[in-house]
Order: sequence, then C-alpha cells, then structure tokens
Amino acid sequence: MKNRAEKPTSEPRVNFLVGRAPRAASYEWFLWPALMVLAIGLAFVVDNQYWLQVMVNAEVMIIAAVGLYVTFGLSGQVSLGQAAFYAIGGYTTGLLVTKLQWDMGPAILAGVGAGILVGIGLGIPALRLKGHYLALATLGFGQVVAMILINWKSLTEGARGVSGIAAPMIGTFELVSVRDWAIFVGILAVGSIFVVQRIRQSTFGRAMQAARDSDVAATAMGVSLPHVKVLAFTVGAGFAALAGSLNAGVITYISPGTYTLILSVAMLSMVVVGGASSHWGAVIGAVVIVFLPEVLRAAERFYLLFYGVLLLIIVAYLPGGLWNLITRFFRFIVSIFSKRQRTGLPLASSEGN
Amino acid sequence: MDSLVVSGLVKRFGGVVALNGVDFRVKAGETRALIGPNGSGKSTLINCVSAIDVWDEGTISVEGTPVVGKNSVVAARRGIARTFQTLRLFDDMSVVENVMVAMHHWRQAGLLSSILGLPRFREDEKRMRADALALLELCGIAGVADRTAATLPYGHRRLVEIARALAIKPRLLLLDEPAAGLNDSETEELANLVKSLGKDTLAIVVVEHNMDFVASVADQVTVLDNGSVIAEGTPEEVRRHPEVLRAYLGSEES
Repeated sequence: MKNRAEKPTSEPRVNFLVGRAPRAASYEWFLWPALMVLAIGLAFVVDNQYWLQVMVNAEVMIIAAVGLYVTFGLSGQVSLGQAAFYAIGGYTTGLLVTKLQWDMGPAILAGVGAGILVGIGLGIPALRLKGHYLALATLGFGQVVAMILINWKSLTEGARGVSGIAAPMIGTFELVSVRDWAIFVGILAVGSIFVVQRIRQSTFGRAMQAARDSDVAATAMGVSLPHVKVLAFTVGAGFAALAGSLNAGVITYISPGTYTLILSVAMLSMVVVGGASSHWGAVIGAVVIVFLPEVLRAAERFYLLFYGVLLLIIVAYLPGGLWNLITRFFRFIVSIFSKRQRTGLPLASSEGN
Repeated sequence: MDSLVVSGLVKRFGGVVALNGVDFRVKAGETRALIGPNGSGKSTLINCVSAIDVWDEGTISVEGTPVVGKNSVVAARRGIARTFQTLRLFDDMSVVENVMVAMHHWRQAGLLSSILGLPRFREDEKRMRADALALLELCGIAGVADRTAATLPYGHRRLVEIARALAIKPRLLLLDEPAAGLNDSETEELANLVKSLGKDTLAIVVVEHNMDFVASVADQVTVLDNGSVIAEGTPEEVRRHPEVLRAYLGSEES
C-alpha cells in the first residue's frame, strides 16, 4: 500500500501551486503588516477629499464583503438581506450617539452586537431553508427591516433619517477628518480580512466548507450542521453590522434610502464577482464594485449599461470570479518558470481548478 | 464481544419494505461482509446503523449503547464511521483538509483562540494535520495530501473516503461498496488495507458485490435478499448456500 505514491501513475511533485488548496504560509508575517502599511499609507497619499471618501466606502464594503464570504462562500448560504444587518449596525450606532450621547466607539460595538444578535435570530430559522428559498427569505427580511426603518417614526425619524451622528471615539480621542476615518476604517478592514482568513483556516472554517460541499457527509463525520451554519450566518451579519456602524460614523447621516435591496445585491455581487472561493475574492470584488461606477462616470448616462455588461461578462465567463483569473495568471507565470527549470518533466495540467 | 447488534430492524419506504426484521451482529475485531442483490437493503441497513436514516421497528446498538436514528453527528462522535457508495468528498477542499474535517469535534481551541492564533489552536492544527497525514500514508495517498479533492483520480478519491472515515477513530467502520469502480490492482491494494485495519478491535462491515474481494477480506458474510437475512457464515459456506445461489441466479440449481 505504502508505495502507491511512488508509482508512476501518481502525481509528479513538480506542480507546486497547481491544484493545491491554500494553507497558512510563511509569507503571512510579511503580508499583514504590509497590508496595514498600505491601508494607512493610502490614507495619506490620496489628498483629494472625494477619492478619500470613495476609498473609505471601499474599505467599509470590504468589511461587509469578507463577512458575507463566510456566510455565502464558506458555508454556502445565500443571503440577500445583508443591507438589513448593515442598517441595524448603522441605526444602532446612529441612535445611540444622537439620542443617548454615547461615544462613537461603544456605539459601534453595540451596533456589531445588535447585528450578531439579529444574525443568530435569523440564522436559526434559516437552517430550514436552502438555496433560492433562503435567498428569498433573507430578501424578505431585508424588506421588513427597511419598512420598520421608515414606519417606526418615533425611533428612527422615518424617511428623514438621522443626522448629526458625530461623537468622540472614546473619551477625548476623536476622528475628525475623512483622513482620520480612512486610517481607522482601513485598519479595521485589514483586521476583518485577517479574522476571516483565520476562521477559514480553523476547524470551524473547514466544517463550514464541509457542510457546504456535502451536508450528509459532514454530519456523518460528526460536524453539527446547525452550529456551523448559524455561526457562519452570524459572522456575516456581524461584519455587515460593523460596516454599517462605520458607515454611519463616517458620513454622520443615515436614512432608510441607503439600505435597499440594491445594496444587498451589490454586496452579494462583490463576493460573486471577486470570486466566492476566497476571501481575497471578496476584497477585490468590494473594491471593484465601489470604484467601477466612479471610473465609469465619464461615460455619463451610459455608465449603468457598461456596468451591467461588465458584471454579466464576469459572471458568465469567469465563474471563479476575478480572484480565479488572478491566480490562474499567477500560476501561468509560475508554470513558465518551472518549465524552463525542469525541462523533460511532465507539467501537470493547470486546468480544473 | 458484540460490537454491533441489530435486532428486528424494519424499514419501510411508503409501501415498500426495505428491511423486514433484520438481525445482524458484528463482533469486535471482526470484518463482516454484507452482500445481496441490488435492492436487497444493504445500503438501507448501513444508513440506519450510521443513523443517517430512521427506521420503523427494531433496535440498533453499538457497544451496548443504542443508536438513535437521524442523529449521525452523535453516532460519528461515538465512533461509528462510514464511507459512501456514491463518493461524497468535500470537493473544494484539499485532501488533508477533507480528513481533518472528521477531527472537528476534538478541537481544544474555540473560535476566539483560533482567530487569535493562540498556542492551543496551533497545537490543534499541528496534531490534526500530522494525524491526517499519517492516515493518508496508511491509505497510500500521502503524495496527494495538498491536492484539491475534486482533481484526484477516482481510485484515490475512494481512498480519501476511507482515510476520512478512519479520522473519527472509529469503533465500527461501515464501508459501502469501497471497491466499486476500482481496477484489479487497486482492488487488491484496498483489500490489503481493509485487512490491516481489521487486525485490532475495530469492527468492520463491508457492503460489496465483488466476491473475490469479499472472500479475501471478510471473516464472516451475511447475505440479504428482499430485506431479510437469508444466509450467514464464512465466505466459503455462503458461496455454496442454496438460498444464496437462488437469490443471485434465480434457480435452485448450482
């Protein structure tokens, strides 16, 4: 038995990076500090207020998208209600700051807490649903929350929204300019990516993927589907709420018009366009979906057309999303080099993944 | 000592009686083959024992404790492991991660220590990966540990199923047609593997059609037909049993 791996029929060992699943690597100690420096550095390099604001939006969306990656990418639960969690975070933070004069920091934490609680509350009944039905149920949840925001006027100010959401972060420490917020949100965005990567590489992340790939086999291996699925759903809700809280703090104004189905769809398309097989896909998707309208604004009234066609092309021709395209390109470069170095050895096919 | 005791098991699908009062015992350390024509209830029995299905009447107990239907998570944690006739690997994960999934419930580290990468989490990962690699080595597929499961050739995928089942440290191992679709040399290697697994106190149930394979791995054979046990004995005894010949060949002549 033991010599099977040495037989000529087994795979040659030349194909590093090809067909391999990701795992924790030594470059991580370099990667995270580098990303931190990038996030903070960008806040200083960009000196145009408008683009700085767009950048903060992208960072906020990165947080929401990597969270949704856990729900949708890792555990396979389609959520079209992420805008609702985003709203719960935003309104909890906004109302605590304006009505109860809380500091921004605790209010953001409370927003995340509220998102997590509602996430658990929705995740448990969502266990009974799969695929399209779950998508419809979460879509309905999003509509219900939007209705509550408009109609519960005594609390939410209705369609007028809540303005003047400004308070020191904690004590005398205050984020004033957009640049301050860009640094703060940038650090949190990198932190969120880190947390999601760790979840993915842990027993919990593996259990989520197992539940997604085969629920029967996962339970037969001792994975409790309810625990794993509710956890994944709650993580997505918590990050969406964090993003919503930060958004409320940055723009100091919230209104029900922000939290529509369009936002939920945009969040889901970030994960899909970027590539649902990796949290890096969600990051790239968030950046692309936020910046694309800005870049295409030059096309004026045709921009929605371009936008729609681009999305269609990506979904139709790049099923693994942009991340898949990038990794394939990277593998292609690597294969050129390994071909030069190891002529004569068969090169394993890079297809199929 | 009996590892698995199934008594009077009845399972109906609507009007169809899939299992009609099956009594079935496997001793600790015994490898018992479960054979029978298509539709005789073999897979149904496996699905009941591994608690994926519920049954209508009768009892199943493993090492003296009753198995509760529709509760395969608990069954798995008690050491009832199985493979699937139609492969059910976690396709988008690497081979070693597939095996590590089955070690999920032994983790020491909670979610927070996993995120923070505390020593407890790192020890977990190190130990699980090492154990998983050792199991892959045992099954002869350590060379493909880091490949994505979906990209493996069929024979290797079958072996990953077995390695994954072994990762829950089974007391009872249920193999549902492990040799289906394998070529002769792969089948022979599989037989050697199953024989090596059955040496200690592990009880093994093998559902299989390939009689040469059954004869080489099984101590005892149980034959099912139409949801009832029609014969039991050593592979040789069963092969000559008139009821078995009738069930397979449709005639009482041999």
